[in-house]
Amino acid sequence: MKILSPLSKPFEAGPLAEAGATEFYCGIVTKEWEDKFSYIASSNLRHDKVANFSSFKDLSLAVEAGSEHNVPVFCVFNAHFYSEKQMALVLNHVGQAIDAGVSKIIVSDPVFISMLKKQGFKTDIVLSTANPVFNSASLGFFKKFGIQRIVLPRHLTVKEIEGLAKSAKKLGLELEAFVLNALCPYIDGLCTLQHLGKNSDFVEASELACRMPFKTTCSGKACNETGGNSSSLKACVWQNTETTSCGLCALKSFEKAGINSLKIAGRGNSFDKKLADVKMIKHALSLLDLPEEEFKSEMHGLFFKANKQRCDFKYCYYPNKGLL
Amino acid sequence: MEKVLAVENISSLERLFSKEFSRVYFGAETCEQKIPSEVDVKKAIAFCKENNAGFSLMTCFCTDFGLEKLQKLFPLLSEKDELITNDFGVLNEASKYNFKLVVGRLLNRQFRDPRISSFKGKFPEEMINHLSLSQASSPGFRVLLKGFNVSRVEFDNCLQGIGTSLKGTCFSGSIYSPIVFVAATRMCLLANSSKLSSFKKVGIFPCSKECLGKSFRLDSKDFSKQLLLIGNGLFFENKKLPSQKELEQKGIDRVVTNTSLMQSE
Repeated sequence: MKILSPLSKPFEAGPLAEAGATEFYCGIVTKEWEDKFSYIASSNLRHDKVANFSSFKDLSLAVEAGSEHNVPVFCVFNAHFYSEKQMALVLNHVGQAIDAGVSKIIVSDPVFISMLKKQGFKTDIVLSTANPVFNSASLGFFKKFGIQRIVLPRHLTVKEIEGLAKSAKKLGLELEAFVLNALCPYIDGLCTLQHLGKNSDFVEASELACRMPFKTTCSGKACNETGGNSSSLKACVWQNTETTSCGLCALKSFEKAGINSLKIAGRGNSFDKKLADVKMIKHALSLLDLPEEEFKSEMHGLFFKANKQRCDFKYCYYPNKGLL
Repeated sequence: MEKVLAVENISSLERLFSKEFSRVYFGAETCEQKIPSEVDVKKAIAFCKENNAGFSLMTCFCTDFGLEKLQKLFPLLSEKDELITNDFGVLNEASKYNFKLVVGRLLNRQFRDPRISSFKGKFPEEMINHLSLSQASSPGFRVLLKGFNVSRVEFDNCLQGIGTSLKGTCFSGSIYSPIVFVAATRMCLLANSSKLSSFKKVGIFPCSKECLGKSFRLDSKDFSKQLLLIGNGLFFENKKLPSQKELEQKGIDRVVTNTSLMQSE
């Protein structure tokens, strides 16, 4: 299985590749885009500068550094949709990204996929998790658009992923699954909360609206049933949580199911965090031959070592595999 | 303007239907655990026939588990019935039948965050205009939907307004009122929320449909609107519907009343 690492600065590519990354993904929001549409209507789903390249020159340098280690770079253009006014500029940016050496384009909008084909871009296309594929019929639907790979939604069980992997294999589609960081409380492709904080300023990813402190009130006749007092508390479960999530316990199942690539979320993370994440997965993959329970125990240890906290549901991508 | 009642189950249908509604949306929009049974869909169709109302089956995004349940319901629909789809896989499968297809509000991407309404004056006008658009603004999206014989596209009543017009296209529009969709999860916080032992258990687990008896109201000083956690969906309420003239100018000829979402069973 490949290790897909986030990238946001050219200098990161070499050391991350040396540490074990076998694929990179990144986004780009240029000054021209920012002036016309602002970061709020970003050309990808990261609305913060720290997560994106700002020039094609930097992107080109990153691709060059990656290619020295035979590690390809993919570029994300996964806004939920592009307006007619945005379309010309985003197509221009795709052209420049391909010229810079990017080998796959990650997209969400099916109209945009058709436009890429119509414009004659010769590039592999990956369907972003921003257009969530939960069933085999959706795999078939997007296969017709000429997609090569699909990034699975975060909100699937390992069992559901295994089922989709069987269908994907029949269709000749590659699958990518999340294994580290940013376990969104809501389904990425169905979440329309802007990544903004107070006064509409751009904020760090840890202050996302879904993790803000809310005063919660339970409403309805069942609030007073047994355990009802815990109901309101349960609605606070995501508040102030870190985004250091993990799905490493599922790696053995993913390998067996034929998952092609393991995705590390966190384009906006520091270089040190990105490096630690790649090393962590590389190490985890070296332990795949261990028996299931021993492997699980090792993965729990890796999580504790990295985050100084025990595994918990709110940090766990695949609790049926990792915690139960 | 056609008035439609959206409900998830038979008891809500019987309780909330009145003669002002000429159509019923029946079924779950965001949760495959709440896809109605064949028996209930038959009952709802019979109810609509008796009350001279049109019938539309509401469907949600779903895994293969949910899709299998939906596939048993498709043959129950006749040519004059509608299916509201919120999943491209469901659209793909449903297009094999001859009932009418409607693209639901979850498939027509919009910027729904209630905080967007406060952006006016703070950001360039072009960007503000962009945030009132939807995927249905795109001619390419309309071509895609036409290929599936979709006849109607649905909208949420976002606070910043609707910048898309379907006037002059082959599609009619619907608007949902008063509950606006914001986000959905499969890590449902209401699932098993009555069990103290499950307090910290978050993930995708079988549930006892605890959402039928409760919801959460979420307040924050950063949100001018109270958020509503109803089942596995996050919503807010917007009671202010655009005028009939405004709606007609945008090609919207149907209002879907979804107050039943807020009324716990």
